[in-house]
Amino acid sequence: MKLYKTLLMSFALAMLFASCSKAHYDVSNVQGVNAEGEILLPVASKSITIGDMITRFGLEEQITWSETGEMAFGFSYEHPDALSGDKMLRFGDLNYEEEFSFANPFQGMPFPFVDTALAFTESITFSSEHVHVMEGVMKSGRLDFTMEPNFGNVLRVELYSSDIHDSDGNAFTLDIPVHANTFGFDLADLHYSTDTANTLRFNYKIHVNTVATTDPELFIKIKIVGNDIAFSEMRGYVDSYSSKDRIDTTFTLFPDNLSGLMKVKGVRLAVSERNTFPLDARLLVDSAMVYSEGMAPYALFEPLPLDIAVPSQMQYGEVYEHTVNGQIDARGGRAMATSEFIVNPGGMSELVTVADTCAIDARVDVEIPFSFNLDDIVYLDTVNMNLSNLEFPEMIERLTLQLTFVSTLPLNLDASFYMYDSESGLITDTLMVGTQLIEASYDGRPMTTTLDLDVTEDRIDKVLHSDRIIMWYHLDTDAHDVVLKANQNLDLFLKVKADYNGYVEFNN
Amino acid sequence: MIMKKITRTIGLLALMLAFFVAKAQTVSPVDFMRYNPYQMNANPATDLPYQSVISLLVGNIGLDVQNNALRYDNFFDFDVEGRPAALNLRQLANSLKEDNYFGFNANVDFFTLYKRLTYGLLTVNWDVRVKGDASYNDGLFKLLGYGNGAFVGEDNPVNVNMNINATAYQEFAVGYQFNVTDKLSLGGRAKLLFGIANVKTDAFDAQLFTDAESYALRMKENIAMRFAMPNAVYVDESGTLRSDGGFSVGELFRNPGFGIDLAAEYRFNDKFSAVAAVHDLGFIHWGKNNIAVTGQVNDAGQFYDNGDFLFNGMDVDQLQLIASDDYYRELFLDTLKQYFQLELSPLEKYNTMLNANVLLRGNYDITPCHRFSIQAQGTFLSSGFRPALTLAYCGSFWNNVNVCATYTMMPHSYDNIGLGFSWMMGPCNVYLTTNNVLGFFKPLNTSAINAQAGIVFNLWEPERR
Repeated sequence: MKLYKTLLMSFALAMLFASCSKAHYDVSNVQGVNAEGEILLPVASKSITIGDMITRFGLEEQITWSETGEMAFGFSYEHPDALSGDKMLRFGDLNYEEEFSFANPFQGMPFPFVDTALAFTESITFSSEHVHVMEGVMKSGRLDFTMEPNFGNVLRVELYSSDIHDSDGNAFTLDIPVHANTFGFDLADLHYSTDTANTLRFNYKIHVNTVATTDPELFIKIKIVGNDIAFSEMRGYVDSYSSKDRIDTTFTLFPDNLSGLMKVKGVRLAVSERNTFPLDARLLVDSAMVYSEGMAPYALFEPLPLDIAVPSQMQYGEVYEHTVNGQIDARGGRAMATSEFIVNPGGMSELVTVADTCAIDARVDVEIPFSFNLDDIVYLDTVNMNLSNLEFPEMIERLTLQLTFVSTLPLNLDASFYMYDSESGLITDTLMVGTQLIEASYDGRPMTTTLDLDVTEDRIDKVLHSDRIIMWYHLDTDAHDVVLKANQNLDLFLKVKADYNGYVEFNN
Repeated sequence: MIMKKITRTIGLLALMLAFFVAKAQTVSPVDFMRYNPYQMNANPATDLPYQSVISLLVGNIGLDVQNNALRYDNFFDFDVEGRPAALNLRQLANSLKEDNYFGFNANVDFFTLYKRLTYGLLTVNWDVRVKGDASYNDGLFKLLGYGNGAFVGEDNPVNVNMNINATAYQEFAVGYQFNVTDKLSLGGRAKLLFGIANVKTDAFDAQLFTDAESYALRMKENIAMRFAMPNAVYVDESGTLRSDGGFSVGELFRNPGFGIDLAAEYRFNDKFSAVAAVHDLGFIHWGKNNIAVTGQVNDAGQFYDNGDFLFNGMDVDQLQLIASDDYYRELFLDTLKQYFQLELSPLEKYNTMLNANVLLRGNYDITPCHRFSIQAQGTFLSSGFRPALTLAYCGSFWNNVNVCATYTMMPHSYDNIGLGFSWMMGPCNVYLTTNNVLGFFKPLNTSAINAQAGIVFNLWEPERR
C-alpha cells in the first residue's frame, strides 16, 4: 500500500511541475528567429573580350581584327568613276549655221518654172577639247536641220555622208521629203570614220519647188543643231583630261558616351586606284585635313600636293600608302580632302581606243590600329534598377561586396558608381568613388584587382530606393603606348560575403 | 561454472552494446513483467502461468516516440520569465549530432486469445501497428545556423542526408509456446501481415559545396523514395499526384506479407535463466497504389552542370535584368525551382523487410517474486542497427500487484528510467507502463516517451497461482 501511495504522490508532483512550467511551453510569443552566420555567394560574372565589346557597341562594321586579334578601325571612302570614259566621249552641243548661194538658173525665163535640184557639200565639227575622234561608234546624238531658202520651199533632201556608215558598212544616205524646211535624224549606232578628226561631211542635194524670183542668185541658209552627241567607243587621239574632286566625310570611333582625346599611332592611309583607260593617269591631292573636337586640324599628308601616278589598264591596286601618328577625339571627327585626277597628263596621245566604259575609280582606306595612349578618357553608362519592392533583412549587420576584376587590358579603369533617384533627381549614394582603381596589365599577364565594398544598412536602404546606377569610368594608360587586341579579356567577378546576426520576424 | 558463463555472456553483451551505442530502439517494462501476457511479444517462449488469456480492443495499446536529438529547449531563446522568445537556429544546430534519430511506434491490439493446450500455449493476436523511423544528420541545421561560410572548400561540404521509413500494417499472429524440458522452453509466432501504407527511402542525400575562391555553389542531390498509398492514386500528365477514388476496406488487405517471431528460454536453475529471441523476420509485398519519388538536379538551363546545380554568379546583363525587371525576376526564381523539382511516377511493386529485432536477456530471480534482468536488444532498421541495453527489476507483491523498474541506455540517451505497474483484480489485469518516467516531466526535452497500457483477462493455472 505504501508503494501505491508513493506512485500517486509522484504523479501529482509531475502534474504540478508541468503546470508550473506552462509558460515555458507557450510559443505564442515567438515571432521570429535569432540567426547568426555568414553567407558566401557569387553574384555576377562577366568575361568580355575587346571583340565582344565592339560587337556590343555595334562597331563591328568599323572595327576589324585579324585572327591573332590585331584590331583597327577601318574606314573606306569609295569614289567610283572619279573620271569616266563616258564623260570623255561626250561632246558639246552643236549649233552650226552656213549659207550657200547658187546662180539663179531661171532668171529671165517665162513662168512657170520647173522644179530643180541644188547640190552642195558641208562639213561640221564635233566640239571637244580633249578627244580627237578618227573613228568610232556613236552612242547617241541627233542632228536637226533647218533650211531658210530665199525661194519657195524645199521639197525633198537627199543627204549623203561617207564619214558615217550603218553597221553593215553602208555609207549614210538620207532621202526624205521635207515639210516646213526642217528635218533631222539620230546618230545612235552609226559608225564614224574620217580622215579629219571630229569632222563630219555631208553632201546635199536639195530639191526645190518652182520659185518666183527674179534675183540673180538663189540663197539657202542651213542651220544644224546637234544634241547629246556621244561615242560608245572611239579610236583617235586624247589630249590631257582631268576632273577635280572633293572629299568631305565624318567618321565615328566610339559611341557618344565615351569622351576624351586619344593619341593614335601608326594610322595607315592607303589610296587604291583602278584605271581602265589605255592611258596613264595621275592623282594630285591638294589638301587632306582631319578635324576633331578640341584640337587644331592637322594634315594627313606632308608635303602637299601629293602626286600619285596611276598606270594605264590596271585593276584595283594600292598606289599610295602612308602612316601617320596623331591625336584624335575618342568620338571621331571629320576628314576633308581635295584632289584632281588627270588622264594622259603628258598631252596628246598616240592613236588609242577609248570606250565609254573606261574609268578611273578611287578608294581611300584608313586603318586606325588599336595602338594608342589614353590620358583622360571618360566612359559613362547608366543602368536602370527596380528594387523598391524588395525587402532586405535588417539582421544583415555587415555586407561586404567583393568585386574581383581579372584584366589583361592595358588600361587603368577608375570606377565610380552613383545611385540615382530619378524622382527626386538626386544622387542618393556613391558606392565607389575615386579610389577604386582596376589596375592595368601592361605585360600581358592577368592583373587581379579586388575591391571590398562595405555596405551599411543605411546604404542598402538608399540603394533599394534608387532607380538608376550611373557608372562613371575614367580610363588611362599611364605613359604606356598600348596595343589592344580583340581577344584581350576583362573578367569581372562579383561575390558577396554577408555577415548576419540578428532577429528576423516571421512576417518579414 | 554456470554463473561464470552467464557473467561472461553478459559482459560480452555489454561490450557489444557499448560498440553499438550509437543507435536506439524501443524497450518497454511490459517485456519484463512476469505476469503480463504481452511479455510474449518480446519473448514468445515465456512460460505464462495462465490457462487462458483474452482481451478485446483494449488489451494492449502502446505508443512510443523516440527522439535522440531535437529538444524543445534548444529551439528557443527564452526571456527572463522563461517564455520562449525567438527561434535560435545556431543553438539548435549545435545541439544536434552528426547522426540523429526520430522514431515512433504505435500499436493497438484488437484481439488477443491465449489458450493452454495439452502440451503448450496457443496464442492468437490481431494488431494494427504503425512504425516509423527517420534518421537525419545535422547538415541542414548547421547550414541554417552558421550559413555556408562555415562550409568552404572541396573537402568541407554541407552534407544533408535523411532516411525516412514508415509502415502501417495489420498483423494476424498465431503462436505456440511449449516447454521442451523443465529447463528449456521454445516459442514462436507466424504472422500474416497486410500493409496499409508505406514510405521507404532508398536515398535522400544532398551536398552543397562552396568554393573557397569564387564562392561558387555546387549542389548535388539524390532523392529516391517509394510510397505505397492506402488508396488508389495516379500521376497525371503534369506529374501531379491525384487520388483515384476514396479509401475502402478492401485496401486494408491489398499488400500481403509474412513474418515470424522465434524465441528460446533456458532456465539454468531456480535463479538463473536466459532468453534469446528474434522478432519480425519477414516482409511485406506492396503490390498496388505505389508511387516513386525521385529527385536529381534537373537540367533547367544555365546553372546545370554535369548533373549538378552550379551557381557561379549570373551574367552581368542578367543581373541587371533581375535588378530592373520585376517580371524577369519572378521568372528567374521560378526557373530556379525547376532545378530541384521532384518527379513522381507510378511504381509497379516492391517489398520491404520488417524491422527484425534480436534480443538476448539474462534473468536472476532473488526469490520467485523478485527478478533482476539484463537485456540487450537491437533492431535492424533501414537507417541502421539500433541497440539498447536494459537493466530491469520486476517484483510481485500481495499476489496481485506487479511492479517493474527499468533503466535503458540508448544512443545519446542515458536517462531512461522506466516504471511499470499492474494490478490484478481477479482475472482482470490492468497495467500501465512507461520506459521513461522522467520524460513525462519534460516531454519535449526527452529522448523517449513511451506508454503502454491495457486491460486483459487471464485465468490462472491453479497450480501456478
